Amino acid sequence: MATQFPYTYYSCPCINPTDSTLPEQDDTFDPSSPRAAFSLYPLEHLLYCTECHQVRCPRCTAEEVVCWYCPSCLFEVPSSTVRSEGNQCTRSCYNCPQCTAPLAVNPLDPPESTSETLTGPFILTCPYCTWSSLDIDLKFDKPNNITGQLSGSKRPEPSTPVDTPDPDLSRASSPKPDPKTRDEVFTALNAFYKNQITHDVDAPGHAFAEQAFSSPHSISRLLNLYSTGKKLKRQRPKPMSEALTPADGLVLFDPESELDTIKRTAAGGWEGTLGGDKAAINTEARFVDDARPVASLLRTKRAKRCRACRTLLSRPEPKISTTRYKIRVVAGSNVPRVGLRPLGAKARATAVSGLGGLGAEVPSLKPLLPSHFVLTLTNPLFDAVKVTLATARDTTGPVKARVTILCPAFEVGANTDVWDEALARDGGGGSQGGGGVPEAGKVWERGRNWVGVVVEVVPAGDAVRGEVLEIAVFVRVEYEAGGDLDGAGKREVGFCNPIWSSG
Amino acid sequence: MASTPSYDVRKSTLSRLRPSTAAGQQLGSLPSPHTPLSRSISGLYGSPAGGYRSEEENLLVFELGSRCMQAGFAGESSPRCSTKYSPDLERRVGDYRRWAIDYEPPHRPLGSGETWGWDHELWRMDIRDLDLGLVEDKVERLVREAELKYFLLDNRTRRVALVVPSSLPKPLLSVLLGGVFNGVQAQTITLLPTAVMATTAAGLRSALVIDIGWEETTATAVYEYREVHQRHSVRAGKALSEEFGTLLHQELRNVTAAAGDVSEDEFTFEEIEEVMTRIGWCRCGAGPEGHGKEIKIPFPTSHYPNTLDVSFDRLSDPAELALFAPEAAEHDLDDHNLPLPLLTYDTLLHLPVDVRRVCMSRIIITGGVSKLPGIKRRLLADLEALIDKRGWTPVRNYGSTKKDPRSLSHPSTAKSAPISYSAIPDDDGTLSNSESNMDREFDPIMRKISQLHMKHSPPPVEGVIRAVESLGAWAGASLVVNNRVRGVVEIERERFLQHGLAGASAAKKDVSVVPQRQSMGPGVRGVSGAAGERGSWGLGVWA
Repeated sequence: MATQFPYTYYSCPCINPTDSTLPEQDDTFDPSSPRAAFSLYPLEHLLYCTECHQVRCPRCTAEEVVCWYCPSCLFEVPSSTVRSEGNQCTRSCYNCPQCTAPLAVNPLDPPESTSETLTGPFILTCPYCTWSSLDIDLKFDKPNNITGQLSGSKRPEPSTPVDTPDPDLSRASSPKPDPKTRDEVFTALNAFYKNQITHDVDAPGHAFAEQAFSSPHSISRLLNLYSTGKKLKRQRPKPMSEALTPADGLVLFDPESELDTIKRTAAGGWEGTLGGDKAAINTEARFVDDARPVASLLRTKRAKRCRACRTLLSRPEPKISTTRYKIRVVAGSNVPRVGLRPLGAKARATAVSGLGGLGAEVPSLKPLLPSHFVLTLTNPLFDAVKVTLATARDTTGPVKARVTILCPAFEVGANTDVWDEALARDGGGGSQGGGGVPEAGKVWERGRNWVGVVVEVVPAGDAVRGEVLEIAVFVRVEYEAGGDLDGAGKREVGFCNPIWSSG
Repeated sequence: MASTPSYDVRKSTLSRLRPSTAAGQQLGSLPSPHTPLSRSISGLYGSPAGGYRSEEENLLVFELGSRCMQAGFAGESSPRCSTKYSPDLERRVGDYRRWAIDYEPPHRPLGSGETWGWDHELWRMDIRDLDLGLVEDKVERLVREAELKYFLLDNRTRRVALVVPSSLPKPLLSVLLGGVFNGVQAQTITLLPTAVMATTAAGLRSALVIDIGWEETTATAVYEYREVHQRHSVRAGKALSEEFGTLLHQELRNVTAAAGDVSEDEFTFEEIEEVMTRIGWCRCGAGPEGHGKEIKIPFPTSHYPNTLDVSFDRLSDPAELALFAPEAAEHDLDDHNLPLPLLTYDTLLHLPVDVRRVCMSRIIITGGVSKLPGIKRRLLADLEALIDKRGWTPVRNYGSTKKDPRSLSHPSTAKSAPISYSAIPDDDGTLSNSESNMDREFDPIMRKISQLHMKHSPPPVEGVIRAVESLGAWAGASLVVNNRVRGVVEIERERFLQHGLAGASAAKKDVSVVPQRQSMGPGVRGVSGAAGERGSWGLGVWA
């Protein structure tokens, strides 16, 4: 996509919500500012809200998940499983921990003939790099349900008997082994806090704050109010304690573990450690030996709504295998398409896309010499529209240039039957213009639903070689819909950057 | 739509409201049998289902640092995603050049000192020349991508707990909140301070949290879940990675013939950081440990030989220079660039004696750089050496007196205590006779009271240097949210989008945090009744 020149980006109005009410305000859109990267989109990425008459970008749409599925095996996953098992495929889809390629399940001993039924043990192998689950000593009995087998193989690991000779630790009442892994420590801490908080909440003063009159605790207190017996000694609260034993989740720093890590790093060298970007996938592992296959993440199909009025903008079909949409209001069918090409380059019969198409013919700008380009606006609407263009006189960004639109206000015809144009051309009328010298105030060329106007670009003297000139163009479109003038505030910033500058 | 009111509009008039330590817990407890009230009853006629309400909510926990974001669901032990910020995130939508075969990443100058790795930072604490709108855009995109890729949330209400340092400037805080509110469409955001959450994740109530982050190292003393003292030093990840850059460039110059041709930024920031995180380490004691091994580091895109041989010992030098600075004379050090052991020592020294006694045996070393192997061991060893040398007297030089006058009156306590890593103190339960108790008289009454208090539990470890591992601030927040503890600062979406941070005082001026404070003591599950509705909110420690 937008890798080819010239390209067009559209600025979503959500960058500055006050803009629609104050179109006259001073701060013009600056495509070279770093913030612009967050509000510029190719036309294909934009939707259109027919209620608000506004372009809607991913930032100003609210999304609803239609279904969850695994991108690797294309099976749908119900939402309850997503909640309980987490965002991962529960079947056999795993990715390589080294290169993130999807892993294949293969038998350890390949069968001699294809007719033979596959017998275990099975391993996960990466078809891209040479990693296999044998590297971490992992084999499976069955070729399916790898997730279940993996979680089964994980369980016996922590029970490796590391007997702590410390008598103080054995004093801890729980017979459970001390938590070792991160998960175990977390579970122990969670249980510890739960216990502590429950203990404290049972305090009688709190019971009243919670209005729990039905609690036997409160009743015993109420009864005590009237009893004439000896006053109950008011007891001090038991202060909440901290985790004191490893069973509570207390892990003391062990200098030996750090020494071990250093020794392993020294022994394994560069190849022994996992790369930084993979550490993001399973954060715990530092060494290649600790890498475990990564379950592939699920994907979703999402419906999109306008954030302002909740209108449904796009809704895909819930079936995984189709890519069709039930509803999809794309911006391309509601907003004029803006394209740019050098004057003299072959005119296209219909300006279909603002993206691509020129390839190698992209000209270089010469400092201080005017170059001419044709800015084409194509109207997708079934009504004629009035277009007003505006641009800043001097561009910002790495290449400085003076930009003049020779004809800033014109009308673009309706998107009528394609035959009209074909017949008109046969009659000899054709698209007018396309010859002579560019003239101020005159449309350069015109077709059924498109108009081309000439833009003059004069680069400054100190142009930088190899940089791209980006021209911000403010496009205002007015059209009559159902009799009354609609879209007085309709606005898009079409923003094209077409040109290599050679200094 | 995306932008929230600017900070100027939101300027808060709220006075600084640190929760006072006097928020006592004077509730009695009766040892009679009773039904546990672990579920709260939402009203007189209500069903007790109110306590399970959060099952229907998406409880998310975000930890935002200046370099990376960790995010996940509350109640899980590790975050679902931890994203490092990189300039790639700033590319425009639909710009797929990065995946083209002949793509060459644009050359980015490395910078030095303050500007080192600027384009890899989400924000800086120095917000004078920071484009706050841009930070908000970045945060929003990070958060939205985390949701798209890792959370896949359904339509249930989303509540977010945001873990941020308590020293975060308010304009930045406002921008972060705006980014998260817009990014995940959260209903409420609870702010939780990083240091306290790291303490919680270690199972402690008080600790000295050494957070070695990217931009700065903070040493925060947390006492009974309250931050009581904080010190900063710029010796942190940024300085460390710059030292690694210098090391790699030096090594390259050593092996290439035309040493003069090697430019200052031959390696990219990403390559340098990968070397740092993969094979960087930290030695203990000043001398090299004599592993004597050469590590071959591949640089596939280098203009020079594609592998660089660096001796393993050499790879511990950057940490030495950047974080510990053993050669630096003390008079050369400024308050903002203290070496880490000195920073830790200074923080402990400036604590009240009682707090110091508790904190020194609960040192938590956390933050990204704490994953550098050997750094914890080194930091503790240096700290012990410092305490041995100086004791707990803030005076470094007695001038003509030549001697610490107090050491004359307490000759027996001048000796340092044996350092132990054990969890349980001496068998008879007496406190170790350490330097921290030097100026404390033996108080039999206090001791008896504390023994009565702790009748059933072993006495806490105090007065010895001891480090405790923490699961990290993210896991702490996950624990806290999972146990339905309400934070002091809870910000509602509508109010924030309307008033911004100024809404903190819009409802009621000078609202005190103390009555709202529901720390880990009794009443933390105030999900119903009066505690459930908040007429006004304050900013707590962030005010």
